[in-house]
Amino acid sequence: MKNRPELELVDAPQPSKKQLAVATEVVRAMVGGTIDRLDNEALLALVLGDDVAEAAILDEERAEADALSLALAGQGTHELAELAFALRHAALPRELDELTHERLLRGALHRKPERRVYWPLVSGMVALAAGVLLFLGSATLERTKREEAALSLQRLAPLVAATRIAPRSTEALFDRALAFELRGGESERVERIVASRASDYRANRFTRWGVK
Amino acid sequence: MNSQGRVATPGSSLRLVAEVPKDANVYGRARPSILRLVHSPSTSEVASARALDPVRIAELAAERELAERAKAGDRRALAELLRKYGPILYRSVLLPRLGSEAMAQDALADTYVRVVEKFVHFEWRGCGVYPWLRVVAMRIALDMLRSRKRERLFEPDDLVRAIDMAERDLDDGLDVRLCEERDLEASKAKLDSGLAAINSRYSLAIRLRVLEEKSREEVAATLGVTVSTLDVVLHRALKALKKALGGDAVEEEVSP
Repeated sequence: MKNRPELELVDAPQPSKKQLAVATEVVRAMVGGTIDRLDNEALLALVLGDDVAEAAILDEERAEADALSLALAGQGTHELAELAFALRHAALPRELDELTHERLLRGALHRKPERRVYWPLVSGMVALAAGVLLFLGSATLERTKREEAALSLQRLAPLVAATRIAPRSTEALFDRALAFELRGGESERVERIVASRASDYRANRFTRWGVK
Repeated sequence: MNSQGRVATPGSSLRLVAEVPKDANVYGRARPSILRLVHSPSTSEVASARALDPVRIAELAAERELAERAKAGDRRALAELLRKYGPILYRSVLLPRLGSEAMAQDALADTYVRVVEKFVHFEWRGCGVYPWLRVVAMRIALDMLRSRKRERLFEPDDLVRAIDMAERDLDDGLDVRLCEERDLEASKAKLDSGLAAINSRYSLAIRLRVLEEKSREEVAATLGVTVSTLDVVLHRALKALKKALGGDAVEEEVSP
């Protein structure tokens, strides 16, 4: 460094008290890291004699600052104004006016007790009711079907009776000319009767069901 | 100072509170904590003060009777108690912590509703109704801080700590005046620690313009800037404070 005399503060002018104070501020801010770049520039500009570096203030920031100023004056809103009012309420909290307090108090005292709704119980009851309805519904449907079937059978009964094959003798199944053997041939006879009556039985059932 | 950061001050009503800045270890070296003396009477002091005050004893007897009637369902008795203590709750507990008149009024209304519902469970502890109401109000305020996002001085964690202390005060039998003092002191300490964490020029701008409500022209003249530049400085100041409050000072209670 000593080889570069241009960097030495030779014959440097004595700073004024104000300049010293501001310079101290800048150094403190830089060390503490609690001041932003633009403000740092502004402080430096002040040391150099400028009015807080107007050039260092961006248009966007100025617009924000104006909005904040208006919000603090009660015109519009700004999130930092919320913080400012919170600080004010913490430093000097104001009294609640009597009328507002009375309104809040009466509101609470004359409020009807809130009926608590136990949703698990409600949903359980709804599910139970739905189950009962489903059961009753299906039972009713079943009964209706049975009743309808019975009714239709009742309506068909005369027709069925008219067309049903009546019980009769098995005589027609055998030729009178051919005499029966006294012994043997029983199975053949029984089978003939069974086959004939089974056919009758099916025919009657079909008639009753209305198939025919 | 012991391992918990407490200073032994036997017989004293002062507590030393150490506030550690968020950026305590920036640049690899510790920044000093901010130490603050806080008035905090001991339980015995409170008890003796109360025992020596016959007016207070008579007040407590009357209040106990009211509380018993209110507990039995007498709404007029309950209204009388709330009429007496509601404004104090609003001013020293709710408004400073919630930072908005509208929110504080909502919180007070909710507190009243909760008290009407729960007063049947109230148990007289000899220190009056206020400490119990204070805990209820703080819990309501905590719920509101958690549910509504706003720019504010206090964070939910601050309220959690405050509720913890208020419950201890309830056990200690702290009376209304001391509770109120303690709450207002806590608000101011929080504010001061926030302002101490930012640049002094910024904190001066906030103190003059926001807290003392001086005119823009007056503050601009004090800071030696134009009015429009003051607006920018104040904007930067509040931004810096918001950032500082984001991490916040950690308050370690210091007591004998």
